Amino acid sequence: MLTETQVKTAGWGNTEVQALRARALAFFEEKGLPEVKNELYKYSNIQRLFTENGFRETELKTATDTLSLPELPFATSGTLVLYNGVFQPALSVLPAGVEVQAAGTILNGSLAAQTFALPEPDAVKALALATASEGVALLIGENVQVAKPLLVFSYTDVEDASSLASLHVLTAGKNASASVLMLHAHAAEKRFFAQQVWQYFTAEGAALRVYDMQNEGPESYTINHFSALQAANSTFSLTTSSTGSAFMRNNVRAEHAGEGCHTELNGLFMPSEGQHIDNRTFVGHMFPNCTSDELYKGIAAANGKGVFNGKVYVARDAQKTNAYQSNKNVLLSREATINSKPELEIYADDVKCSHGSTTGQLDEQSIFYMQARGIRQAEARKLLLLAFANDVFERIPDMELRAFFETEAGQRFAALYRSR
Amino acid sequence: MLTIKNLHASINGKEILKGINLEIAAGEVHAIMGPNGSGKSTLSSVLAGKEDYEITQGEVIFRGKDLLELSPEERAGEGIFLAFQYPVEIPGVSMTNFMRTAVNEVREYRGLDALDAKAFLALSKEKQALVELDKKLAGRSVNEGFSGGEKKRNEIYQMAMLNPYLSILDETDSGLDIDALRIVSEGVNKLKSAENAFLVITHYQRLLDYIVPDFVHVLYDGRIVKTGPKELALELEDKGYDHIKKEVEA
Repeated sequence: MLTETQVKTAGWGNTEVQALRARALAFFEEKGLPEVKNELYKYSNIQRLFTENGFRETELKTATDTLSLPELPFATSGTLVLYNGVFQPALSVLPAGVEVQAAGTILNGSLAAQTFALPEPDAVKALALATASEGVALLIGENVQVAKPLLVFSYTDVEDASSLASLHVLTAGKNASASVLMLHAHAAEKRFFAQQVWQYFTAEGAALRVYDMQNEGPESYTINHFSALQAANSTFSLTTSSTGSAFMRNNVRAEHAGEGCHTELNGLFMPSEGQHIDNRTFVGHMFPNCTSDELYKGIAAANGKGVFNGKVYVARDAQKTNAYQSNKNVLLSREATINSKPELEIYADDVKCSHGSTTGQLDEQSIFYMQARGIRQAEARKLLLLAFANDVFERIPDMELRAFFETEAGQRFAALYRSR
Repeated sequence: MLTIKNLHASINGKEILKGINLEIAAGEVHAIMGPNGSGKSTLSSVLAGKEDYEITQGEVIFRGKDLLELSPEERAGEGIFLAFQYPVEIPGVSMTNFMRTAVNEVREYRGLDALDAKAFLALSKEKQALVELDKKLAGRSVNEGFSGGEKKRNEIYQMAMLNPYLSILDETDSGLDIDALRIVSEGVNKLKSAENAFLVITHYQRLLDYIVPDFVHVLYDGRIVKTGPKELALELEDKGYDHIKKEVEA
């Protein structure tokens, strides 16, 4: 298929990594792209995605000096620019205590094994691992407190129907604290299939919050692999706001490697006309006294398709686990679909775990009540959608970031009713 | 101000209003009374523009416009206000955000500039005082966790904020204790002017002690079967609706 050259030309001087990539490639070649009967990709037809779009490997540009960066309504602590997955030092500014290296320089021993592991037989991730170009290792030093969010801006500029993948690592040092805001953009009218692998390591006592604003255009077909390995007493949170892309799949995995960890996963996904947005999450409680809290809210309009499949796993030794998972969805049309599949797998006996899933519609009584007060129906629906989404925004502690995500969602809701 | 001619309305094929005729002029207070199931709430819903009802015959002219052609929000813009019998709770939408959106949507409809935050707060404070609405409620979601009395006072506060020409009070007295009833009524009486009118829909005479009507209409089986001065309400209280039913059926 598309792999041979990419495997060879993706950088990676690290021979240990090369061996792991070869192993991933072998895995992919043995399994092939998953069929819909594969439980992991039950609601996302990956094979059809490839056949219909003819994604192929192309020659990728690796540098740019003309990129315009997004203007944000708030201050950031720095900017890291990726162009077709490749780090652009000239366009990047990093805060004190944060450094960048090539990913391969730190991926040795257990870090390499963890990054290239396939805990589930996921051939799509295997393909990403095997073909990914060497991205960055973003290193946040011990005790470093990055108060403002660090912007990671990722720009895709490829020929039509290109396939590309990149792999990045982020380590948060002992007792470090940081938040990362990921923004994306791409060249117009060029379809692409992009896989990004992000492996996060949070050291003891670290707190890392990652926010991904997924609002790319309909040319984007994207699969993200976000995996966190948390040392004792560390916090990891991931918030995704998915409004863009023709196809979006988030493979999210957080696993505890010590006691006292906290994991928070938040997602707002809003598929509309022609869009497919799939979230697959896994929280692995492997140690006692850890907590996790997961909230995914879906709003599907037109013929949009959304998926939430979340698994909470509690190992036999993970006593005193507190794990919550909730998925709530709203369907705005008869053609809209959301598949929800919450899963709990618990082997410990002294735990508090709950999960719930609901799917409904906007309350017509509320809409009429607002109309009777002079509020246009479209505006009333927008207010109700913002109210529905608000639980997710409330989990963003940084007020500027919260407003940023709220505004994005508000624009999306307004657009939904303008286009009718 | 409002002219209703031979209005027929059905829901799910069942005719509820069977030829309503009613004329309301500016400065007047009209009361509509009637037994359960006579069509009182249907009439208020139809006037406010609820889509569940099918208008099969007749017309409604409000200040020169064909009301039935307008969406509920346009009717509100024109100056129709419905105080709901059961105000709707809207979790996640704050009272302030809701009211400010409503006020500015109506102002936009009427060709007025939007109120800025300061002007809105000043107006809001004045109108809250009118019905003794607790300031704390402004920070809550619309009607969520409000007591029955607070919900009804909140309706009158909204009425005051939107300054309508015609206010329809749909069983505003239901679920109110005597103190809340007095506060709500006083609020309404303060809003009364020569330019606006009120249509008070009620099951009991009690409310009409406080909001004194110029006309009382009796609605029975989808028609107005009797109209009289305010004393008619007392007569109904005294003799009950059975008396009217017999009269109509005879």
